[in-house]
Amino acid sequence: METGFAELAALYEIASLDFPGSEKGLFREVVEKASRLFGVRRVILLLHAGGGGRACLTWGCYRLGIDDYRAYIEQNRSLPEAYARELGNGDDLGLLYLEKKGGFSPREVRLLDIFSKRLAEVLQAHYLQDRVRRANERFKLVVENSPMVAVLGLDHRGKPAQWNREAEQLFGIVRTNWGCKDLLRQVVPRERFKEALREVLRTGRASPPGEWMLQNRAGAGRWVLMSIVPVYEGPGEGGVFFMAVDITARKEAEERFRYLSVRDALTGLYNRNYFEEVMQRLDAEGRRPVSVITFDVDGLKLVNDCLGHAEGDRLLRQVAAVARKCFREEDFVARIGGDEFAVILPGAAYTNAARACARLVETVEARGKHGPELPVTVSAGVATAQTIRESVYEAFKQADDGMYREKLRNTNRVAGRILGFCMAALQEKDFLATGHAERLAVLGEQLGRSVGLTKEELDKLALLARVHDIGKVGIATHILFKPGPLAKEERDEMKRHVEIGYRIARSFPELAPVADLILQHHEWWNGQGYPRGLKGDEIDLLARILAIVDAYDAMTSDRPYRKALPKEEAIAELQRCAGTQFDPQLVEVFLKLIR
Amino acid sequence: MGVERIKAGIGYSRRRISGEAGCEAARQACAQVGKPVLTVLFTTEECDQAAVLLQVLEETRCTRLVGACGAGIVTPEGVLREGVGVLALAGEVETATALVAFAPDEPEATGRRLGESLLSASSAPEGAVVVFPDGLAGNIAEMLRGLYDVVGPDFRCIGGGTGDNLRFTETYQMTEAGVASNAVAAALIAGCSFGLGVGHGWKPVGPPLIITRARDKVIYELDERPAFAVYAQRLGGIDVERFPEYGMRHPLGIADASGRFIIRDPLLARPDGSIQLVTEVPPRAVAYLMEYETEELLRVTREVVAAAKGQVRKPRFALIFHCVSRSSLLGCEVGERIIREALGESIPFLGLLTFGEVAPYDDAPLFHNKALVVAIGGE
Repeated sequence: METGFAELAALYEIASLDFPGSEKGLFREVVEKASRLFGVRRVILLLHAGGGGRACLTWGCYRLGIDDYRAYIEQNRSLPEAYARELGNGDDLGLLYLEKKGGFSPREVRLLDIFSKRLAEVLQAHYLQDRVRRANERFKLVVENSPMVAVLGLDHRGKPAQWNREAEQLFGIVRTNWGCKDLLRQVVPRERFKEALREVLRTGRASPPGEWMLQNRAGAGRWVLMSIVPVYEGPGEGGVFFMAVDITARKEAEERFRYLSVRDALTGLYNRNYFEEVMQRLDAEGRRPVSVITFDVDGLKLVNDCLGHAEGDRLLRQVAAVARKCFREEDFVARIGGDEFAVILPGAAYTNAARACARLVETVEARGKHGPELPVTVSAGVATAQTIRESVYEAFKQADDGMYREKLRNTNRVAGRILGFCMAALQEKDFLATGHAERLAVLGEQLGRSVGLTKEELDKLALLARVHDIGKVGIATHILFKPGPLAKEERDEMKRHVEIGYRIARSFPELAPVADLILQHHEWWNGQGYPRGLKGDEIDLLARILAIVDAYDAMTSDRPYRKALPKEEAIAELQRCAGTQFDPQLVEVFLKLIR
Repeated sequence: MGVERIKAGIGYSRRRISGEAGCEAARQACAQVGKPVLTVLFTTEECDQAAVLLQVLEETRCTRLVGACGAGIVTPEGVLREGVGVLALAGEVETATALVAFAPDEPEATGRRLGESLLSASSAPEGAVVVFPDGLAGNIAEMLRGLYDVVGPDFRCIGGGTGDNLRFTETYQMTEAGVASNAVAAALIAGCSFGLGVGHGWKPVGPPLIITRARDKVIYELDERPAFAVYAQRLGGIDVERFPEYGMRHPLGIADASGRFIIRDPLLARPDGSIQLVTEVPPRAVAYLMEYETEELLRVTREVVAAAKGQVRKPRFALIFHCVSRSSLLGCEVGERIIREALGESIPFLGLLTFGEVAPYDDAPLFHNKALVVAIGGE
């Protein structure tokens, strides 16, 4: 065969050398071509670059037992049988070394030079592709597993081309038939989003991040911060990428913050800051008429002092709930102080405002009358800024003055109502209906007379007998009426009734004289009582008398959790406790009385 | 005349009973040389291979044997289509044998294992390796590259693919370890000079064909068109039914840089328009349609024998590996007669009609089709 044709055939084979998938596979091809086309006896390929680092691939060298192939090559490369070429112009890809018995002809060297260049091209392309592949894989790994950023790529037909796990969850991507229309259906506001998408496609520029709501079929929404990025891959090709971060939690926090900045945390009504803002705004706008109602809860301090702040807060929430329902949507109902509320009624004339105020007062009072809780009333005032010369703030001041006058008129009535509530509650909680108070009063008077109490002291003792356990209105019924023994926490809670009773008595003039006695009625003669551990004569005589008669009546009366004890047993118990719990001398006098 | 360092004896038998044939052939061979150091055994496919092997080993009392089954045995009296042939090699020769399974997915590793097995049993610095791969097995060319990678240029590899008389069902390879199929049997011979000749005699015709898509032994596309269509067109239009006939006469030749061809035999036209060959083809190579003239084939035959003889000062024996289809085309054992004549009376020889032939053009062994390989051993 003519060498020209043979050379062409060899050139074709050289030109079609390609990377078969691995460096070892490439070396196999190099060996096949080198041995078949050129009759080489040995091949050494040193690779300097690539993902696998340095590599040394050899063929026909096994029996040489070479440790250092580079040294071998350097030693032999100038021999006639050898051909050696560095691969890659300055890229230092590696070195190709061949040996042939009898050496290579100039024509063969020329062909081998082309072969080496082709080999270098193949290696370079492979390493570049490998670098790109690794970078893509790294990127894909990051995007795939990104816990916060949803990435969704749609092709030019609107079909999903790439997406990560986050996008699957956020956009609800299903693998079949999901496309751009499914995305557009979710995003709110829809038209604005479509416009943003059109703008991106028209200009070829990414959109700045925008806040959008994704609404699913059930109407539930998630807020996202989303960018739209166009991808151009040729005429009619390409698509868009949507990059989104779920900011629902942040939006909810913002909303909550916004809410709290204008709302009162306890009642949910507007707070004082916002109320004043509205007043200023209405004044600035010059809108007239503007009416203002102020009202506050009567006796809240009494309730807080007597029954605790939890009960006081409950009352405030109750009033706020009623107030919300009594006014229009456009009215601003606010809590502006501890027990003070105010309402701004834009556009309401005085008569309408006064009617609304009366409705509020009646509704609060009616609810208190018919409910099981402590009855509550409010005192209110109304005023209206009719003309631009009258400021809303002045109207507020007038309403406040009016409310204050109303409050003064109501004070005693309120106190009486609260005391009445406490006594009614005591009826229920301390078995007063069973005649316990009357018996105590009788026994107490007998014992008191025996020890020479004055009339005033006897009167005081009688009052004490009736109200000594008034503090139980502040104790939970499940503890009061528990049939079995009380746990330690429950006992500690129960002991609080003496302090509650003391505070209630101090709050009402008619009960004030027995406040200290209420506080002492559980002290023991030996100092092991509560709340202060008083002993002996430190305990007021009346309290000591009450302790004995109260214990005797309790033992000799039926309770839900036990029957009454026989008199002898009660007497024996009093004797046993004389000197510890009870004043021994008073016990002796009492026992003589009852025997 | 000095003492012969190397001696070879030939024996062959047509006996129908395999064991007896083996025994007779071995006895003949040993009668000429005594106890051999290496026995080369050739059989044909109808033999009871195990029985032959057993009898030959018993008769020769030789610890090393390498053998192959082929389409015929080339003897001084002609080609035995059925029978047993034995070449007993004796003298100052070092030998080793190996028999490894051919792993079709790892042909290169198979060759390496074979080479490592041979070298582990011999410390000879140079010599020859006679190798018999299963002609129906996987990528034999790649297996030979694996073998060469281990043994290197100091050992010349020669041999042939085992065959079964063109039925393509099962063929056999042997060593003293036993009989195998889908394997490679080989023997390392050191201390003996070898002269080698390889050639085919086929000539290219027409413009080149680009093997644009191929895998292993199948060509899918020539010039980016279905392979059979292109092949048929080159031959002026042939039917699929006549493909085997044309394929035998018009193989493909793949040139190297110096214009030498290695032949690839088409075997059958597949329904998908591809062409299956006897041996794997290198992908993205340039091929030519080849044709022959009997005279040229005969000329090359003489040339191959002469080339081998010219490399050995004192030839003592010859091994012949002749492609079964080349032999068939020459017909009536013409080729074998020419070989005999070229070798002369003084060189005992034994040969095999093979499925592919192993021999180097330069150093590394190639797997040929339609070739004649003559290896002459001597001093």
